[in-house]
Amino acid sequence: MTYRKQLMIGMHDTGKSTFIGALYHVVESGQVEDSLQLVDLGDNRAYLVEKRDEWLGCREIDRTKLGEEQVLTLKLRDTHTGQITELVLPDVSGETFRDQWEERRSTKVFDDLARQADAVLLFIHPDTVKEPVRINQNKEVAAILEEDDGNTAQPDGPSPEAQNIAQVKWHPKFAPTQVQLIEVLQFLLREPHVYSLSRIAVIVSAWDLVKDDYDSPTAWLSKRLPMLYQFLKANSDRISFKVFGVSAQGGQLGKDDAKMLGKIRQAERIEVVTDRDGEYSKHDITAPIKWLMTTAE
Amino acid sequence: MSDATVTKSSASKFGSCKEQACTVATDGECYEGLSHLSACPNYIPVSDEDLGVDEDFEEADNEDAGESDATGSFPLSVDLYRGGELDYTTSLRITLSALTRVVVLAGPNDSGKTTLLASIFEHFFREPLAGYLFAGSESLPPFDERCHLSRTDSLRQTEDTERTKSFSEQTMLHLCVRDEALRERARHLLLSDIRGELFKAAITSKVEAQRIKILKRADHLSVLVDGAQLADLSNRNQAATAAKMTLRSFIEAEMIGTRTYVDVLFTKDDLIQITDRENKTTDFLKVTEDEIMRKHEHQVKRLRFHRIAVRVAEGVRSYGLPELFRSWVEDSAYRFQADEASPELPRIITSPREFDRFAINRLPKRFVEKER
Repeated sequence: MTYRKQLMIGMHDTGKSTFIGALYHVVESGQVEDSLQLVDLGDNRAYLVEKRDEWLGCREIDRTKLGEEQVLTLKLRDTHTGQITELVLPDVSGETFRDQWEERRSTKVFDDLARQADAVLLFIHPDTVKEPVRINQNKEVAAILEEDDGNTAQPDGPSPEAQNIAQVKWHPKFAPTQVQLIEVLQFLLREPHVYSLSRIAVIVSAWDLVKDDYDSPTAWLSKRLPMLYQFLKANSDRISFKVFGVSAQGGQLGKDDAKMLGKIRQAERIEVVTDRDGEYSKHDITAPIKWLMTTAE
Repeated sequence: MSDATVTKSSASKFGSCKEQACTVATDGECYEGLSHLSACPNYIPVSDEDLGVDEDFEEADNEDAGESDATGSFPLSVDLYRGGELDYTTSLRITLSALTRVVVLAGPNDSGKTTLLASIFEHFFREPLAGYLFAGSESLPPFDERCHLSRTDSLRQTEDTERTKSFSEQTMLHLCVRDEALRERARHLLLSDIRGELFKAAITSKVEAQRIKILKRADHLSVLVDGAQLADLSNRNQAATAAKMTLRSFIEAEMIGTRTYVDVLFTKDDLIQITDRENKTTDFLKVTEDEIMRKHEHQVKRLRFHRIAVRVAEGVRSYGLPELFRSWVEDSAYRFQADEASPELPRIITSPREFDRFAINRLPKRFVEKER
């Protein structure tokens, strides 16, 4: 049996807990033929059972809070090779990573876990990406909208000079998502290399929301987060990466509940894609984990 | 992450300041507005004694770490690297570990030094710059801070760049880039962000010019001339003269020389163009270029002039930045020697560390001691 520890990294509301709920369902139920399968239920599974339950009921999954981090251990069998791997997957709060960027500190728990991990699942949710908006850019959009409305009148109110006085000081929280994520990764890659990460699986959560607008998950990453994409590409000889589009929920809660709950096999709610069609089974949420495990050897 | 320094995250005292007016002790805010207190020469960090922590107590804490963790009432934390501005000492880690291009941006206040830095960083938000990918930075927070006043988060109506706060003559930001084809290794750049006042002082005194020590190590010196001043008949002569004097001052103080690539940047060219015909600014710049060229062409490695516009008004395209940036990354006197297959110069060791002494003793052809 081999032993693997993979880190889950992502700011809050990026789909980490939903991923856990769906993952546990797939590996335990065996509903996806090619997926990794759970060898035994193991101890301390209350958290996993709870997340799976919430996922199965199409309920909003409680996100992990600071101080409530869980270290999940899954003994998994590869159905093709028969190889058994004990996967340790810490479910770390998004606030941990916020504090890393804003406060320049991390929890000791995360640091210990990171020192033993060899791979990262990096979660990004299209709806929670913060992009930098330039003032001039904003003005251009406003001008176009005004033109469309046929309104060319100057806005009332204080002069630009007066309005410029009321400015907000910079705070790290204003930084774009990609800057924050790059820093979190740099913490792990920085010399003197106490961490031994060699692979990153980038998970674009809620892929169903954006799949019609982008050719592939990598296309989404390179267009929405160009600096992060450049960073990963430029460092690809140190740490290889692959982008996965993952729709773990399978739809929008509150809107698509009936459709999702109506699936005979709940695992079929899940959609996983890579840049190459058919590379993995369509519903196999273990695909990123498999990629991290196989290539890390 | 840095070597694990275990600290209590509940410690919240701010330290104190030699400056009486500073309120850092009460609210943690630097009087000078510095985001990283350690950069302030007047700041006195909080000590263990101030915190009421003695060694025995610390040891006891560490022994109890597991228990504290489990309850979550006293989360232990690990300090991460600060990611702030670099100075000569803190940049050594980069310059000693990898070939690093050092670029000094010189010019008076408002000439566009910080805007140029911010524009480089902002460019990577859209696409690679001059064929180079963003490969990392040890200065992400200060880079992002320099972009803030051009963003809607600042709640401003017009774009601006914050004036450089640090009083240090050596303030630098780090950037790492790699060619898009990934054929070559990543390259490191240290870009200076030094207050305009220091360059103004350097014009008036050799001693002041010599204070900007980083010039000695600079591969590139870019002298910025404020385009807004050049576009104005009543200011352009002083602006151009200041640039000429800056260059001359650094050459005479032997801070730059035949290893230094020099670019004179006429910034905010979009503003220059508005009154160009009326004020014959292009003709004026041509004369300025000729004068500088005649005097200094043979005293530096290369002398060039650029008209650039990096942060432009709505609907106008910026220009000039990619060509300049490519030159910063690719051109260096050190590389030129390697290309000519000249014998490799020995590395000069300045540190007194035993490890470096060992290198000098064992490999005298490759390492030499700096003359004292």
